[in-house]
Amino acid sequence: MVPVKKITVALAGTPNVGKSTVFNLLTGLRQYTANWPGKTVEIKEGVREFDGYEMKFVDLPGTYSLTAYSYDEVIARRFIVDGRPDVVVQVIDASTLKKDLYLTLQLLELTDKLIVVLNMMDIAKMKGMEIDIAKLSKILGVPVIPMIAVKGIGIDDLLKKIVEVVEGKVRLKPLRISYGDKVEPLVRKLKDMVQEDRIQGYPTRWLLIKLLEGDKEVIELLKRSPNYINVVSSYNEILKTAPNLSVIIASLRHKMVDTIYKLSVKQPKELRTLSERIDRVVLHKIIGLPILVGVFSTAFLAVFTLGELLSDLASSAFGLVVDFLISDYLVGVTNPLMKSLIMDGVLPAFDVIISFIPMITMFLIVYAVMEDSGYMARAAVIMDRYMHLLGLHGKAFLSVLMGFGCNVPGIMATRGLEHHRDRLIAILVNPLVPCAARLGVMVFIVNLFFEPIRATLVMIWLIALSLLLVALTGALLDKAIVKREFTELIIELPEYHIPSIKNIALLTWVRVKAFVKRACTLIFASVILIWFLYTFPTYEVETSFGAQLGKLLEPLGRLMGLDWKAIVSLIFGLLAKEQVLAAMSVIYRVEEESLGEVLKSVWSPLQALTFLTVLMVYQPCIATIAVIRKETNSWKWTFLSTIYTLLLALVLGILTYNIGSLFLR
Amino acid sequence: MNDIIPLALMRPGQEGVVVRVEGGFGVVRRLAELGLVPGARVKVESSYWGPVVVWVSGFRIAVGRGLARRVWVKVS
Repeated sequence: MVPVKKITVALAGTPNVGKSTVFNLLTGLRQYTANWPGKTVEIKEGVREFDGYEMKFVDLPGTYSLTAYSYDEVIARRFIVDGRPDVVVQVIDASTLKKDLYLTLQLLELTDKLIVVLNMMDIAKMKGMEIDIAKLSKILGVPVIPMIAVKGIGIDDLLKKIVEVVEGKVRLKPLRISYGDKVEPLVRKLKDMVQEDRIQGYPTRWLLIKLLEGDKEVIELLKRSPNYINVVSSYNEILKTAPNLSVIIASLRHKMVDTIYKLSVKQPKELRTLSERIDRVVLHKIIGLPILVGVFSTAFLAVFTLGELLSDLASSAFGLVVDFLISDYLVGVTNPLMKSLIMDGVLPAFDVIISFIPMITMFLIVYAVMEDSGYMARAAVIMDRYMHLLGLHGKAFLSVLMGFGCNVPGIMATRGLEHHRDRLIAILVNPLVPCAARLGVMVFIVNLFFEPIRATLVMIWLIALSLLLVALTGALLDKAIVKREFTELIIELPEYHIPSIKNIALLTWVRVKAFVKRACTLIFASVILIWFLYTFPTYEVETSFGAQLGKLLEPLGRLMGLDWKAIVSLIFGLLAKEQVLAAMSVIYRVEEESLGEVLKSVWSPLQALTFLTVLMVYQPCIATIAVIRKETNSWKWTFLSTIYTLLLALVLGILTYNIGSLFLR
Repeated sequence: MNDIIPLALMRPGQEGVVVRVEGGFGVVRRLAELGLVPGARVKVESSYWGPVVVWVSGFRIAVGRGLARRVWVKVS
């Protein structure tokens, strides 16, 4: 038997070119996600056998360029160098070829083994473009494969070509770009100071051009080695006489792109597309917003109404299965500890997870449709001006909206944000967006203590306070996390596409799997921890560790006019905020139906308001914490976020109670 | 009519050539990557309160209004 030869293929490309469709076609279900250490970027990998090879495909983040501007770009270029892929495949949208050639030129500088895939050939043809593939391939000096990924056309050609390139059967003569009289002498001058062809794996010429572009990461890399300090200092000299080198280089690349495009493509004078006509309506100054409201209300309802229905079904089904399968077994369990662990720990933990999954799945489907169709970019454009009022990016809109339903999908919806920094801010403010569970508890308690008109005012106040905190926290983080030069929107408006069902199903499947694997284990562990707190050492809530903790914290509570019972309920609320009411009925030893009467007898309206203020502000629930951990991939931020909301809740609780008692006495 | 005006002030349908991009390093480079460099042909598709939608090198981008004020275009 011939041993299987293993090779690695990196997939590069700009956003919105159908790269994930190509990746899905190549790997099918044999794919998994991997987080890049310490960052919010997720990379997909998948495997396929072909012609005696085991090919590992790595789906790099979509980038327009390979500068150090965004973390995605840094990851893409580091992988091309450090990951040592045998072949790099760039997926291009043939119908917007010009946009993608800019990246092609940069890839050619970084790797010799490039294959270009021209996807969406059918759309290019519909637009009236005639692409001379042989000529394009000759100019670029690398293979060019036409493809219509949604129909599966061209995949086999690509696989064959990968093998040919690996086996050295194709002559590659990658295009070498000359940057003209202004730049080349500078490159030569710097190159004379370096002996090696490569520095830490990067081609020297590429590094020097990046240095002239002022690439921060490259400058750091060169500075670290004593041999190259002089290279950096002569760059600093050059910068004094030619300050806008990066623009000169970029515009030379664009000129090159124009030339290549003109040589290899014939197109009608005016490229009118259907997308353009759709955008006249969708981005219209008057009707754009109502359309957006319509689209997102539908999305919101789909996720939360349908999601909740499915969650209830899943939960009941789980209950039935439990009754059916293990109730007999449970009767036999006489050890009270064991029984309590199963009944109050393990089963509720599974219940929490099982009821989460349908909602998360619905959300991920809706999210994939929005992204795949191209509508997300339009929504970001329309909402940008409003989101700036909250100190957030236009693309963070979906995240805030979903947060009103549940913070878990809200935080997952930050994936569309390109920058690690913007994404981190959006993730960290999301817990302050009041979710449906908190709003539910709020409505119940407010209506107990206030007359209808006052109740409405109190609710408006609590929601406004939450949004104010979102804005203030956003502004604070904006200052605290390395300040960027600008936070304004620059976004491509991709062509609209009818989303492919297969693609969305696969995308959702992979993401749900990742959620279950990474977030659910943490949720499970935390539910068991809370069970432990309220069971040990006495099996009675009132004397448990949890209650002792509540009593220990009572001095803090007194600052807010709250007793230990209220504090214990709040700790219970971490399980899930809708559990607060159930927890109270346990602690106050009443049936849930008569909880209202009891609360009215022990709390003043001011205490109720204080309690609600705290409830609205501190970390929504364990699942939210778990998903913050998953999405930031950092315990530090997870911890900071939790501490921050707790402190904020404490301060606001104290303020509310003390200022309130001046007026309401 | 060969005025040089900021992109933000161009009317829908107007075309021109970028002559200058103002601002810090990051801004200039980011705009450059998406094709908004001196010499690039642009055509404004829509422009009202909010981001400006503009054609550049064969695709459309939306640019925040504040950024669009820093891109100077010779209108043709």
